[in-house]
Amino acid sequence: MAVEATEAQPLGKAVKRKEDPRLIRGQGRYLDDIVLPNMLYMALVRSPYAHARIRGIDVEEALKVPGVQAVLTGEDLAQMNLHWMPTLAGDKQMVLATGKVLFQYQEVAAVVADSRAAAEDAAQKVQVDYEPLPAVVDPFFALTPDAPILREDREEKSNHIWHWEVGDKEATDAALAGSPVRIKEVIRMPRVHPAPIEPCGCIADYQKATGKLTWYVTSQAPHAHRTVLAMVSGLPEHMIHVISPDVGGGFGNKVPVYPGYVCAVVLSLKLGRPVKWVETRTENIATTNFARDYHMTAEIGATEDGRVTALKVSTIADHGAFDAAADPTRFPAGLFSIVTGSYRFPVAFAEVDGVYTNKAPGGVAYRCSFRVTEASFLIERAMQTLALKLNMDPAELRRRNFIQPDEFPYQSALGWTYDSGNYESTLNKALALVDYDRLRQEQKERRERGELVGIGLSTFTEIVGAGPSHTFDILGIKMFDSCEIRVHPTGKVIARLGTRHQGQGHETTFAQIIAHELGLTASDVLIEEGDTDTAPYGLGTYASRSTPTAGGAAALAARRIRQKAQQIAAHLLEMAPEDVEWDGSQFVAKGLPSRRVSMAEVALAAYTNVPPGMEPGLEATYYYDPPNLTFPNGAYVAVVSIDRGTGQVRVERFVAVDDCGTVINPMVVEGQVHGGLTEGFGIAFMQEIAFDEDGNCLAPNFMEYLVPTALETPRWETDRTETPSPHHPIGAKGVGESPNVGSPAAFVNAVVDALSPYGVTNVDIPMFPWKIWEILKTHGLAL
Amino acid sequence: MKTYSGSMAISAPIEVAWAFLVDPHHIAASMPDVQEYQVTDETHFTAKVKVGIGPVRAVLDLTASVEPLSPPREARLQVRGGGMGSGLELISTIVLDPGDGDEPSTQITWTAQVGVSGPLATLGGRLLDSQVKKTTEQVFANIQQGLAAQAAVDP
Repeated sequence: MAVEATEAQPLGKAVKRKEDPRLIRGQGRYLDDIVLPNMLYMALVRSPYAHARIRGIDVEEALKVPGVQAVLTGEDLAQMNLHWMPTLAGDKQMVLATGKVLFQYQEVAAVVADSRAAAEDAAQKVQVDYEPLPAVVDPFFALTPDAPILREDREEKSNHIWHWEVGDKEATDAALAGSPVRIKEVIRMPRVHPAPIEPCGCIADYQKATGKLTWYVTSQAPHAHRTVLAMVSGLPEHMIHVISPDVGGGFGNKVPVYPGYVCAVVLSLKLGRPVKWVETRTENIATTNFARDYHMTAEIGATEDGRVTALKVSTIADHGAFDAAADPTRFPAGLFSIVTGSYRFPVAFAEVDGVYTNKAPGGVAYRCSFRVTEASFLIERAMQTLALKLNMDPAELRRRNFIQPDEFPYQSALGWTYDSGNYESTLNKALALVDYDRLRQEQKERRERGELVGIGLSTFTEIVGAGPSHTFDILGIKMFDSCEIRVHPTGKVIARLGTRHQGQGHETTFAQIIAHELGLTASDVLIEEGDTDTAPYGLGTYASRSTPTAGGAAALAARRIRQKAQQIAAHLLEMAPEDVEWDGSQFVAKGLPSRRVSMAEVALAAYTNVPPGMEPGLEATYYYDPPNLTFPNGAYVAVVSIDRGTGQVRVERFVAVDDCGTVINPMVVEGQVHGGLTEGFGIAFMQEIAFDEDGNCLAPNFMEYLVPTALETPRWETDRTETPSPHHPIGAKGVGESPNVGSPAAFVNAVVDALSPYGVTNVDIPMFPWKIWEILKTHGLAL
Repeated sequence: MKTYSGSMAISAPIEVAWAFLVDPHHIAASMPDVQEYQVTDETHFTAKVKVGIGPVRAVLDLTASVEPLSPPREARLQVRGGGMGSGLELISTIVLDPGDGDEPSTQITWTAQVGVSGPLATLGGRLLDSQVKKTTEQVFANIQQGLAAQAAVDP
């Protein structure tokens, strides 16, 4: 039952989202809503070819279009040494192409004009003379000697970017060789795109008189963007003011810095006028960072009674033309080493090779913590294959291999220290909710009637909340996060954080944390994010890190406030501070419960009547560097039936039990889970950014790249177990990404389960109806 | 690049068909939806051609050449160009054989490799293949018609 924001003791309650009244009334203020006086509009000229040499660019006709102010090419940028920029992964990326284009729709020139229409018209008039070159689309071919070298700028004359490995290869090989049962499965997670409804964009507003650049940008990480911009442009960082207004969905897509941003900034610097650039849908899907594109091979060894002995994984990672992943510096394959999942693998080994191809650069963590979805998909699919090989119920196989509650903190074979979990209890709750035993009986009966019915499990473990700073940084900047709280004289609060929400509900949940710590209500606390001139430095919102990092900072900053408040309370009660205690809502004199003061009274005193010698005011800032990541987990069960006439898969039921530690707001958690499951459903059944042999992108719009609507989306049944994180200040873990991470495997496992009596052990996603129908036809099952 | 091919019979002697095929005026006029063209020399022409696939419409600026490879048997037609952010490339070999019948006739066999890039290729999506095939076939159907018309006027 939802409650109002005026509810006392709000932590753990379904407080109605404070941001919703403005968002659902259309009163949000998104990037494209901002119109500045004297503003210009920018459009980009993009390459039709995936791989071509640029022989010349003729801008004369474009400059003749009425309203056009300037045209910028790569050669212009080269004169300023701005034609390349660093990516967050330590590679570099062309801003505007010089010499060669390396992917279709690559940025080649920027046109700026008085209106968007004039800019678009003029962009069409820029004549680029291309000499098409053979495109490299297949990453396996890219690694062969026959493949052309794509990146001529690199010293290494190879399309291989990097090799990364973790674990004990020798011990893993030995354990596999000695295992009586072995499975090997090739598992592909295709290229997908976060596809936020609001595409990326920015307004660069450089004022020549002050030398200050105000940069409005659709950003999940405004402070990081400010620093990157200062590094790229050479502008002093204090003269760059980044404002990330309401963000209409990010899902990882709004973490990187894009070439269009740099062009808009350069043009504003040059012209001294605000320059707006907003992507079209095609520009967003075809050029900004994609996700996944992992070609994985998994091998598991096990005993005959189903105890896993070893896991070996090798992966080819297709990064496109530039390695523009947004992974922490030491983790080129992100946190893929969570691939041992919820299971007790005594030894494991994983390796990943990054490869360049003629595709758009990436890949970002699309609603997942740095390659965790790939890892989770792999292990949950491979466990299904093992269950089939052993002819064992997949729930029983998981039970036999779960890390047990008394083993936490658990040291995984690939180096992580899992904080907490009770995997069996989470699974049991899911199985009870779905009535698993009865379902299996029904499945048997329906199979006898010729129906294709499957039940799929996924019992995943995630890893979220980067820092800690000793391990995690992006471009050298340590991954902590921050909160600054100011309590006003009337007891009302403004709190600013280094994160930037895009629909996660921070304006409510962070208000709940702070209010709870200070004995206030969520309505007393205003949360502000996204303005680098006011908020303390932080690394932003992605990878389910906001609650584990900034959420911790919020609680600890509030506790700092409370420490000072206790001194003031004691002064008001005319007692020694040690004789005053916090009862969860007010300061109370020990042994005299009727003598008490509220936080509002303390706040007023902080500005009017502080104890002698005390600094006035009531403010605190906390930079929270978490001691470890958090490890949320979940147990998902999908029940599907397959139409033998059309290959259409119907999701009959989907039960999701998540464990994200302490729950701040159950309604927000449920909303997050619904959103992530819907995305996971899209990934499993309808989404792939495919390319033809010439490198043409075949799904650059919502006609070809489908997003589930309310019509297709199944009904989600959700529940929770609650195993607090022992090291987080309030015991919370991340949750926003769990459903996207955990659900694709459940859908595929269900479809495989439906088809396994006929010898099917794997179905590649996306499971388009035509693909399923072809499998049905091959196995004589199609009607 | 995708490959398309076809053949057709023309009721004209091989010399007449050859003369028609290597004349850039005739080939330019045979481009489907040609808006304007200009012959630049004996083997080259430029043309503005309207193309539409699915929801995308574009006017392409094309540069083309017709090259005699082995008169009067084999010629090469090449078309390249682009517009509205899209690109088109066609490389075609045309082979002429004298017909078998009593009346003078010519059998024309063609193969064409066609590559389309940019929004035309991507937004056209699944419609692309059939549309490119249709348009390519239309080029040769127009050539056939043009030849037939010429044969009727000047038998």
